[in-house]
Amino acid sequence: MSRKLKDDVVLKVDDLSIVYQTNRGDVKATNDISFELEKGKAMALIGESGSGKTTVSLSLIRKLPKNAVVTKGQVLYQQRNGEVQDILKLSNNDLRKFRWQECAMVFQGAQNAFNPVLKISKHFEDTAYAHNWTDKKAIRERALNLLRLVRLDPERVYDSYPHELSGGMKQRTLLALSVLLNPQIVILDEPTTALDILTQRAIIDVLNEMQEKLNFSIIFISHDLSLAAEMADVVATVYAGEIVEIGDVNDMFYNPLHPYTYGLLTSVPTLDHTEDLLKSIPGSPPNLINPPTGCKFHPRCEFATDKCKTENPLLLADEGTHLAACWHPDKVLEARKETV
Amino acid sequence: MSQPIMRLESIYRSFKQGRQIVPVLQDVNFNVNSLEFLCLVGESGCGKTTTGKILSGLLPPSSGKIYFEGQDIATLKGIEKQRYRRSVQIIHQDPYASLNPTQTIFEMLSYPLFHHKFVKDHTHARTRVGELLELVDLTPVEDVIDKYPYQLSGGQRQRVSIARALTTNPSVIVADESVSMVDVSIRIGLLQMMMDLRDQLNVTIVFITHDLALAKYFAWEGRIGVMYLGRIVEIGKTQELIADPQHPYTKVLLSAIPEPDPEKTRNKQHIQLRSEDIPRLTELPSGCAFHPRCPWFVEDVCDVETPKLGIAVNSSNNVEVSCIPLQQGKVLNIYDT
Amino acid sequence: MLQQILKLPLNILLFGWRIRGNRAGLIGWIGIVAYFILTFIMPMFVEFDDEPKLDEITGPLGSRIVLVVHKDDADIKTFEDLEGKTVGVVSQTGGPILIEPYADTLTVESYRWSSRRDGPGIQAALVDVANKEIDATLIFSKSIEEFIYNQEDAELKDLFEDNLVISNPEFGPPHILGTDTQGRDIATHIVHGGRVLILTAVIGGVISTGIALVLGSVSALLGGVVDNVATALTNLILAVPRFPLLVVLAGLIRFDNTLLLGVLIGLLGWPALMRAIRAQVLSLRERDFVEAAQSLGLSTNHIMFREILPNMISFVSINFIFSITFAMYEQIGLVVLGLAPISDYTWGVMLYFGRTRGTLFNPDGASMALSPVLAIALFQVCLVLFARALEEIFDPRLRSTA
Repeated sequence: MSRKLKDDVVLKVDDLSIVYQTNRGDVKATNDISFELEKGKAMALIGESGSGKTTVSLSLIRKLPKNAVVTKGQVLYQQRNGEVQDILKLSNNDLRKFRWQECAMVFQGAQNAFNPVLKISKHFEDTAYAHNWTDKKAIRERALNLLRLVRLDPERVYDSYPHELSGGMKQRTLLALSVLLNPQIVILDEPTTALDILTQRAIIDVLNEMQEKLNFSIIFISHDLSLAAEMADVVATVYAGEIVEIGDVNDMFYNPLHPYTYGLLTSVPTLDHTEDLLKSIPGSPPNLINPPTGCKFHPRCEFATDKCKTENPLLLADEGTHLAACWHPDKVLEARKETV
Repeated sequence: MSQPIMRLESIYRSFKQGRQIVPVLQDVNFNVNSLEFLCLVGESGCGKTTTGKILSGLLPPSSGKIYFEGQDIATLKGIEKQRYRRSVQIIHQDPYASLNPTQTIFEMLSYPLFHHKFVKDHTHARTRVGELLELVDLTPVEDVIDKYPYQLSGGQRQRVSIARALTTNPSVIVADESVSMVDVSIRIGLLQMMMDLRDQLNVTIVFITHDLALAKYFAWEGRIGVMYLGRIVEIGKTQELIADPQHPYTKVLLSAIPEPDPEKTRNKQHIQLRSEDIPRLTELPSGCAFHPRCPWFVEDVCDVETPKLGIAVNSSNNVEVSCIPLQQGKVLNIYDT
Repeated sequence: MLQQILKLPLNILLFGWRIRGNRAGLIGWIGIVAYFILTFIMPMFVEFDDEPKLDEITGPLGSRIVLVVHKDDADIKTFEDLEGKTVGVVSQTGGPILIEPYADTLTVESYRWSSRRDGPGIQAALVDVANKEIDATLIFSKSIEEFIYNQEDAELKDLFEDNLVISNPEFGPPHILGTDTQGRDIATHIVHGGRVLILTAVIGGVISTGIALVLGSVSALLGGVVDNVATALTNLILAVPRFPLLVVLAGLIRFDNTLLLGVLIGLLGWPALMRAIRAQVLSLRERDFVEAAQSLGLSTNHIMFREILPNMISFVSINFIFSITFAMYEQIGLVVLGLAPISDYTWGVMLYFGRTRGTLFNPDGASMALSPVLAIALFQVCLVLFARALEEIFDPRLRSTA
């Protein structure tokens, strides 16, 4: 696998396979995950519980738990100066520099990300100091600018304690903090899950503006299709540790090829009246210690054939950048034609 | 139409936090009609969960009356009171917290059956529990009945929760965000199952959620009530409310919802609010609680008088709105903002 | 009932198998079973050594009588070698008893022990051996060497050093842990000394955990006045330092009965646990499944015993184990200070005597102090390790996420 990346690619994941060692057996959390992230673009990893999406995101900053083993693969990151590194092989020192400075991750539940006895300003300063940026005034100026960017009252928020801010405000402050050191990639884990409608709207708008002004790449991990529809340029659906479909956002939403993607799209209610088409995907996520043979989705797939039970499909190119790991991508098209 | 199965009249609910009194619900009035699908929608802090608990008798109101089948429940005693308690059940949000981890599914479903003497003995209980599990589509029953909660998935646990609520043959079920913590692709299945229960068991369902799209799906044949900061600001038939929302807050909500359709959602026009700040319940604005953020704010009207539910004069539908300019005949257009 | 007792060893093994994944807990469990056998079963087979044998005073693994002979007879080493000879024994030392079975095959010459430790009886015996008036004498262990060396009388010293030789320094019965200051075998004391101590500690633990459980749950469930009174009482007892209180009480009451002591320790040890249990119950009371039970009309009894308590088994069991360890320490503390009954010769009493008889400062006598200390400490360690196994048994079931 070559270590040279195209100029506009900031992150390339190749055949990433991760296993959790538990006393019940080896959990195959991800299996040959591969994708590329271009500079300034947003990519959504859509999956449900047990899909492996969080595992992938944690591996990008090497925050996997102790019992996780990367059995295969590399995560190539291209710095601004063109130098390419494999994140999985970074030394501890380089890893520290990488985290937050090159790639920041915002976890779910902003409420717990802040130290309740430190002011917000101290959080910003500490983050900067950890990366050898000690100019207090400059830090403050940048922080205030960022807080303004996320539509908060800068001075007021900068000098307050976390408990003085509401949940939505904390979330946005965390977003500002995440881009303090001007990273090239920001990873967001379930940024809108369980949030109110108006708070979601605020976060999405703020993210859009931030990306426009600061031009970083985003990776979303979520099960929220609406978020992907709002912000993503590329969408990948993840099931049982594998990417089952990946493509441009319009392709994914308007021309889904994989039955899982199709199943997701037809199980989410919208404001349009499409009641009759909605149905849940039957069954539940598979056991990753003993996953199903062949295509891991076949037990729940309405189009499954014998081939699906024995052979695991690879991501096949349908047209150019729209890939689906399915032996019968035409079935979904047929099904969609019938319902229109 | 016969009388509503439940009615909330001038419900106020507040609690003490240190030395402050926090008003959670103010002047909440609405009916729950028999066998209807009613949704209470709102954001966090609007009081919808508290309303649900008051409906199911788990919380008493600070003032106001609750009527069940025409009777004021405060006047109910003894057997009558027990009957009311059995008739209104609640389903919680968190499938991981709503089941006792030390009990098997059979145990947790059979306790109420035995307590209320719905079953005579162990065999009878087992049969009945099996029936309930089949009602909620947890089949084959043998795969579930003797398991512990930690062995089931989130969706399965919610179904157990629903089955448990059904053990007392309730006439009303209050579902508080019951699908929010479940995988996206199985939410619809759960909702469909709950909707089927109405036809199979004659149960009225009140569904509480912050997700308007889910509310619309669930209550398409029924009604939606929108709550804001402890009050109902709009309530009416779902189809009318979604197609032609009246209250400014509802309009803003509908315009702000992200939708799983790229073209639509990226080209949607969002109504801008006058302020991002959500007032605290302890510092409620004067008059209409929404006025500091309302794009159609009318000075000296909205910040003075507290609105009550009433019909918007110039609207084509019959939803009730808590907005004085609307009740006075004003028409709110998006281009006015 | 009999069936249960017979099945007990099997159950013990099964339990050990169940927790085999948790190494620490397994070690603890094995240790506890070993201790149970040591303190409850072995006393039936091992007799308590109650007999002072002044010549057997020695440290571990070496407590023997020595055989002293004239230099010329240095090849005499065993009882067979002594056949037909004249052996001197000093009364009140282990010699007379040791020689009894062989009294037919040799001639016994008795010397009288005197009131001083290194009295004339011993001296006379040694002199006679040196002068070949008797063939051998059975006497103290290695301290006889010091006795000879420390002789003030230069003439005697020379007599001894020139003529005597210790032909078999390991003549008598062995003592694994050595002997105490009276020559009694410590190992037998250890075997007998655990029973009462452990029982008392368990009683103390049961009482304190029981009170804490009842008071904590009731006050958390009922709230209001009951809660306030219970909490006030708890805080009161908590504020009073337990050990000094026990010391004071010991001065006022005669603790004749060890069991009574256990009860008293239990009655004073519940406050901290009560608060913890109360906090647990309070938090469990707010859980969704309790609310669901209330909504379904289930009784308060049911909620307490079927909903809340089962979620606390792990917590209560582990704290029960710890309360046993605390009760044990308190008891031993009192005994070592001499404030509690010493009628039962428990490990704590051994420590007390160890302290008062000066063994803490004497390397030879170290075993008398260390053996009970080790016995107690290892037992506590086993309890604590076992508590970890309890955690694993109860928790996986209770874990709420799959």
